[in-house]
Amino acid sequence: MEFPSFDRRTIVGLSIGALIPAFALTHTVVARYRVSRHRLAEEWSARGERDLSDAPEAAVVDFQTALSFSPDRNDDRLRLAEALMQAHHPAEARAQLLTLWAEQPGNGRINLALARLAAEDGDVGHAVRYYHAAVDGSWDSGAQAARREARIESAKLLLAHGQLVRAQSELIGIISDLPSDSGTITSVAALLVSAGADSRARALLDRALALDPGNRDAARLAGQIAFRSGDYHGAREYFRVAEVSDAESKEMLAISEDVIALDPFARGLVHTDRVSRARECLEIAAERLHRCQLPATAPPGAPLRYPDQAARLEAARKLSVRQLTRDAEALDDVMTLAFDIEKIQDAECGPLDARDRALLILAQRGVR
Amino acid sequence: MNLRLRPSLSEEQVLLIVAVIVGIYSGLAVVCFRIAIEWFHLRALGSTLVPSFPRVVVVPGGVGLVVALLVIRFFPAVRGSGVNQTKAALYIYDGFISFRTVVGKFITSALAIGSGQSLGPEDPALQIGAGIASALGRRLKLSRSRLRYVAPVGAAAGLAAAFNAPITAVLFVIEEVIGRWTAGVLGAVVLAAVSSVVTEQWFLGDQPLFRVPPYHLEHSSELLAYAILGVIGGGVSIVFVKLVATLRPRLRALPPWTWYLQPAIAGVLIGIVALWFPQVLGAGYDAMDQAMHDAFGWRMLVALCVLKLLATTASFVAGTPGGLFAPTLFMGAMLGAAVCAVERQVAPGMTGPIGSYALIGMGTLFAGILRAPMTSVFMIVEVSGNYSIILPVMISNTLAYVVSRQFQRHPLFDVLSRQDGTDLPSMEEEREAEVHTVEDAMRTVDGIMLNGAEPIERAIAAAEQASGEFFLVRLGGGAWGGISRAALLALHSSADGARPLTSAVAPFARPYLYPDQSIESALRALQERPLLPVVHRADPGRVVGLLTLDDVLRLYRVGNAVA
Repeated sequence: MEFPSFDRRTIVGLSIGALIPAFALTHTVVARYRVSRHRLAEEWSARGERDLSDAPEAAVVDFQTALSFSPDRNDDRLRLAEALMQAHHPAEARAQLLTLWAEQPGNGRINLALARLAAEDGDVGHAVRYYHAAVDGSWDSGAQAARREARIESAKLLLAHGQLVRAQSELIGIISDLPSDSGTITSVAALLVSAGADSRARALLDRALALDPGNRDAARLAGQIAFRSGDYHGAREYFRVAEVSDAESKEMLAISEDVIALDPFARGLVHTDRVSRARECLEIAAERLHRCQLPATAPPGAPLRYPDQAARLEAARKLSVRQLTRDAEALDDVMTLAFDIEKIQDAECGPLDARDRALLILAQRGVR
Repeated sequence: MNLRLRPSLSEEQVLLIVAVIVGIYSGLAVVCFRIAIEWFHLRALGSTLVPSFPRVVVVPGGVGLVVALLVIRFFPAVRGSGVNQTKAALYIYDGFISFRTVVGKFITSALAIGSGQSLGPEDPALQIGAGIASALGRRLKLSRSRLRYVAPVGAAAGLAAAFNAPITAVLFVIEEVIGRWTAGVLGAVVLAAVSSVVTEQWFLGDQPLFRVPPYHLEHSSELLAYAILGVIGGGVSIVFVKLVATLRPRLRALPPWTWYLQPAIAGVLIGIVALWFPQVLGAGYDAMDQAMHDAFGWRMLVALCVLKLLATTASFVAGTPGGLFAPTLFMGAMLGAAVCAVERQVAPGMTGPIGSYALIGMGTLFAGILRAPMTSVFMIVEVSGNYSIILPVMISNTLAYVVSRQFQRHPLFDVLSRQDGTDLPSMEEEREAEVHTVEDAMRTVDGIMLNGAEPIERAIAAAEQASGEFFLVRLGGGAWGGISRAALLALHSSADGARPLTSAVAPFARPYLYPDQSIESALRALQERPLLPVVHRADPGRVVGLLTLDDVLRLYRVGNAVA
């Protein structure tokens, strides 16, 4: 085909002028192309969302296909990474996340996902760094809850690796931001207990119980903290609210009740009650000594193993109520004897029961 | 905008304006080309990454038949990648690429790549850009020398838009098509590349070609792994080039009616492979992205590298229009990722991100197969956007290049041009041709240097002892002159023999020759005088040698005799 001949100026002018329809045409083509790609990406992304819960492998392919149509859809790339994590492809998930991270290092969601991967690998250093980045990062929605979740996960990881002090500082960081949700508060308190921060934990648990007095977990946990701290009255109250069923708490409750019931030095007791309690303590000790003197394995007619304590016990038993009421030193001696007997460290004596443990606790508190 | 071009505009300035216009048109064409490929791919193979059984078997073969018909009947110049056609336009056809070729390349390449033939869109984009530039240059009636260079200018624009990487495009065109850094053309090439990329980004966005995790060197011993990657990459490059170089002429030698079937058969074979390995279909950028994100184990990566090599060989030697850039990058990505995957098993704590290995693998195969070492290095830096990756890239690419050169004498594009009967200049050979300097040709000053302070009589006596016909005269103060034997003898009869020779000899104009100057510049100076002093650069009064035309000729005679 022969074109008419023009001079250079005209050709250049025509070339520049023709750019307008060329741009318009290309714009039309690109607009339709974009719509088509966007629609396909949306379709595959939606399919991925559907598959994510029950078929993560299929979801991986779906999100990959969505990305092939729209590589800059970072949400799909993040969902792909999550699908890969669910489908147990951690290396590929990490690679996808690192690509996203390179573009959005301050994205909380990406950092949290990377932290979880590092935590799975046992890489505490990287995990904590990513958790902190997630806490400091930006979130599209639910920022407060997500940041709290990041801190909690970080604390759990640190606890699992024995880094109690760092875990405590993570948890202390979220105390002021906790919602008015008794369950959440209780779970944070439980972590504080694991981190060795009993007093902070107990304060949180009181908060949780104030919000929901029927929170048995909070009550049980608070009871255990109170028991460990020697607040047996408090422990008894918490355990009663908790209606505990686990063996450990039950034992703690029994011991707490015994400590309260046996303590002859408790404030506000009249003398007769004091003496009565002392004598009861002495009888508990006597039972213990009996088990120690004549263990099941001992042959008949074997000599007593603790004759001195036996003699002292006999003497103490002979003291009358009146003598004990009048003579405070005698009362102290009785209790000292009871404690000495309970302190015998001998495997032949058999296990300590709740009352023995209660006496030992009283012994540790010391005679007045 | 003032469209008026003043009559005083030089050819060079016109070329720059044309470069911008060509860049914009090339950018638009490449945008449409990429959309056409994807549109056809969606229609033919569907939107899924794993096409269904009937489509994957029928489409590449069936479309291969149509493409063969179009190429043989209507567009015979669109066979192959397009790089050599652009070089041919520059060196043989005075910059001529028909617009029909542009249209044909667009249609047939879009069909072939979209249907799953194992070829890429970059080289066709390069030829489309070159064709647009050629058409505009002809309309503008550019001079023959400018018209020649306008095709590479368009090629840079096309490649830049296809890769979204202007530096890579400029370097490739300079390194592989033009072969030298000519200031006038360089400006046009850069302008065209930049304007095409701007146009392309205007429509398709500025997303990089590859989105990869950030590179970091985990341990310095990793460089050893990159060196191993370079050596293996060199080996794979040799296999690919030799396979193409062996099979292509054999298929061309078959009866012409088989040419209609060859792309179809290649398509069917690729379709069968794609039943198990759909990643080999088309350019394969999605699979490259997956490899960079650790989606495959090392066995799968090696399998994909080998299968892509075979699939690309089948598509290319069958004469299907399409490029080799993308398949080269695909093979490199798989190979690099495979090396990383193996290294992770051997030295788990000392392996960097797999995406970096895949990227560097791309550059490695690019250096090994296309033998454009500079482009291969800067391409990876440009597409990764990470300068720190350059060290392993240089190690790996250099080794691949050296290994490939050792066992495959001629680069792929040179082999192809020779098979096609067009003996295009080899850029690699030109790059590596020995450059002679004055130092190589000059002789010592003994016997042909006269002292200007001496009387003419004594100078004549000294000249009689020498055999030369021209003498160099030291005039003092760092100046030099020259006098022929005949002129000297004439002075004897016409002048007072006691006068100093300086009175009869005019000083040479500076500059003198220097030992490191090229022979080409020395020859220009020798046009004016038969003999020139070669002086020390720091001390022009100190003559280190002399150069005559005979010395230059002797140098080349010796060179030829050695060769």
